[in-house]
Amino acid sequence: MTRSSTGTHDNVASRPIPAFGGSWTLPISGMSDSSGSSPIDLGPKLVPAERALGAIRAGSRVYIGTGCAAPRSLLTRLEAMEPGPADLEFVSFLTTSALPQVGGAPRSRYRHRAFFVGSEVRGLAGNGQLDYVPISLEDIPRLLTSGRLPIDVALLQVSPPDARGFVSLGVSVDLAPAVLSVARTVIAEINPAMPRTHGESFVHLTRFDAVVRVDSPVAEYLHPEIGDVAERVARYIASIIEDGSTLQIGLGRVPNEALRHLRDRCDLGIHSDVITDGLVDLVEAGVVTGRCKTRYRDRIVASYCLGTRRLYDFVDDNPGLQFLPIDQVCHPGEVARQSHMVSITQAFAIDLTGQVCVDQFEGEFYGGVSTQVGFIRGAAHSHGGKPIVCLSSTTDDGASRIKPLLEAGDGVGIARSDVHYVITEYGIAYLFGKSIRERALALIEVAHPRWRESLLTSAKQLGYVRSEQYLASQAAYPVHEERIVTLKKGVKIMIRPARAGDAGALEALFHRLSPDEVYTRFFRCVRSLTYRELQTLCNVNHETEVAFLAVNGPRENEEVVGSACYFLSPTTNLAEVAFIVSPEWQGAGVGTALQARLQEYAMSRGVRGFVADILPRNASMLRLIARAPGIVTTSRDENAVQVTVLFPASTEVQPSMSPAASACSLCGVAA
Amino acid sequence: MEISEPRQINEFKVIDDQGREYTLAEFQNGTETRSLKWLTAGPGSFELADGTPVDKIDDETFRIATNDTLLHRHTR
Repeated sequence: MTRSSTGTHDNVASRPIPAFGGSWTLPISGMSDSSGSSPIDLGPKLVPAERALGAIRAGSRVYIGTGCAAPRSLLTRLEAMEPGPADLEFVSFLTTSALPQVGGAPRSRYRHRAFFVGSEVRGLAGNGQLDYVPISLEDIPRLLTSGRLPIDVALLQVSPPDARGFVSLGVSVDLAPAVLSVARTVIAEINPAMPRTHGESFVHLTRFDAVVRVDSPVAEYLHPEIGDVAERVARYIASIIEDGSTLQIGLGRVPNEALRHLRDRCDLGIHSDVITDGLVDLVEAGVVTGRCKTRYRDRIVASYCLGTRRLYDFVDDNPGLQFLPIDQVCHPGEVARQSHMVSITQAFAIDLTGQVCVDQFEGEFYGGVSTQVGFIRGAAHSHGGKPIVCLSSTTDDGASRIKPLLEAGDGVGIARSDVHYVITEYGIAYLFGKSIRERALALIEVAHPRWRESLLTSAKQLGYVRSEQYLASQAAYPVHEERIVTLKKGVKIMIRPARAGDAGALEALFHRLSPDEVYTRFFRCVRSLTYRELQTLCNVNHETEVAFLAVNGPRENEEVVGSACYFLSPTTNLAEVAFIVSPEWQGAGVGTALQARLQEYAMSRGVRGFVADILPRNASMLRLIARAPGIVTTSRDENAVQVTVLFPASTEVQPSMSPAASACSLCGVAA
Repeated sequence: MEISEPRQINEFKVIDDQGREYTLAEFQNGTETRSLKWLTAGPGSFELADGTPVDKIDDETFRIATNDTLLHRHTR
């Protein structure tokens, strides 16, 4: 790697570093004296920390290596130097336990320009020491190499060199290659504990102006424990990740928790800005193979890792991993080239139109733009890709994170036009291509039940939804009632509870019916269903009003192929039932499956039976009802056949129908 | 169930003896079930598209009330 003068400041040029004198040697790579490896002569580049840091001039802009690869020893000494160089500006993507602690809090005497507001630098904002730069990480290398953000000094932590003099950037490649291409002075800690990672991680010793030996464990990072709510969100996320998908996980606690729920999947791949300990379990379980990846097949691609020693041992000298520069990993074009790419972004809040708040919440900056936009756009363009935004429905103090409008102090990090899946502990909303009305309804349905009515009121006031819109149920969407059903010819469809947002899909189903089919369903000619009528058929309370839909296709693009509903009479405990099956699906078993599912649901709630009025010429419906388990009686007037089915005591209704696989049983999509 | 205003329950083509075609709408009182089925009650009434009343003679034959024009159900 060659040095470039691009973007350096002449007026803050670093001083040359005087040689330490003598010849220092380091063992190769593992640096274990018992390894038998030959030592390599680091020559005059190996100097004491104070001497290396003496090269930093006042006013310099100093890049700090990312995360667990931050050069902690150098930083501690630099902060402690008396007199230290004045007016330094530290530039970093993400630091974790890099800064000296004073009274249990990170402390620095310098200004920090950060691309991510992590917990370590957040406290510096109050003193005016923190400048947050909102930028997508994949754009930072261009920012650096263009000279718009010159770097005078780079401080890194790397592995020992191999026999040819190459060190590894270890657990954090990310921005380092770009920084190394522009920094005037490069100083590195050489740490035997730093893993040697593969990929574009190797840098020759000649690129370093000085190296400092340290012997300390690489900093470790543990995700805090998550609670029940986050656990439920994680389960929903996992539920829509299919075998063969390639994942980007990010730093959020919830996405990382989702990894724990993927142990029954096959051939997952990883193409992620960051990897964490959760990955190791999946690799060891044979879940992550990378076999289906369309780029870097059989390889895990990452740009940095944050975790424990277990993770570091896993990545050490492991050719199954490729650590690449951040702009190569996170560029939307590169992400899009992976098939079935799933990106998961944890958000602070979202408004009813789908604008996502990810880096500023209630006036404070947290986190950053990071790689979210690149991955979301890339996953959206990936064949079979799924960009996911997840959040808990409320804050710790109970306020809704789904808001009518984002408030002053809530920054929009992801545009509404880029949002596809939104997942809370109450289900999954799919927003892409949906209208404002459809988005608002879908998001209200995954909001916390105690906020839904007020969100609906606000949505009406804002003109997002119709004034006559109502929510029949304040309860969570009953995702556990979803079922995967195998039809006659082996075709699988899902039968799921209907929701308010299904009105449009039901309308489309209605218009596929012939006039005669409309007549046999509604007993009159109907050219179109009113909004109120559509809502009657889908916006139900799931108790006395029940509706199921038969849907075909992927969740983000499902087609409603059948509808079944019942309305319970409290006086008779009998439910009036009605069905619609799309013409092209008639004869395939959809009606039978819907009838069985409806009966199973009704019986589980103690409903005594079904009643139905059926036109005499509607032979298929008469056959369907006649086959229903239970005691079937019929009577007839001049217009219709009245059928009553009294359910049997047994609850065994339909052996061909099974609850969706544990993952899929959680998959409710509000659209 | 609630008894509602008469609703159009059907619509079909009829022709007169000169071969002119009309659209005939059938209305009927009834009740709407909660599943939106329209259960008719009592005899229906018929109108042309412009609201002209039409009497039913039998299932296939009708008469415009204002000019006694006979109409026959159009079967294709």
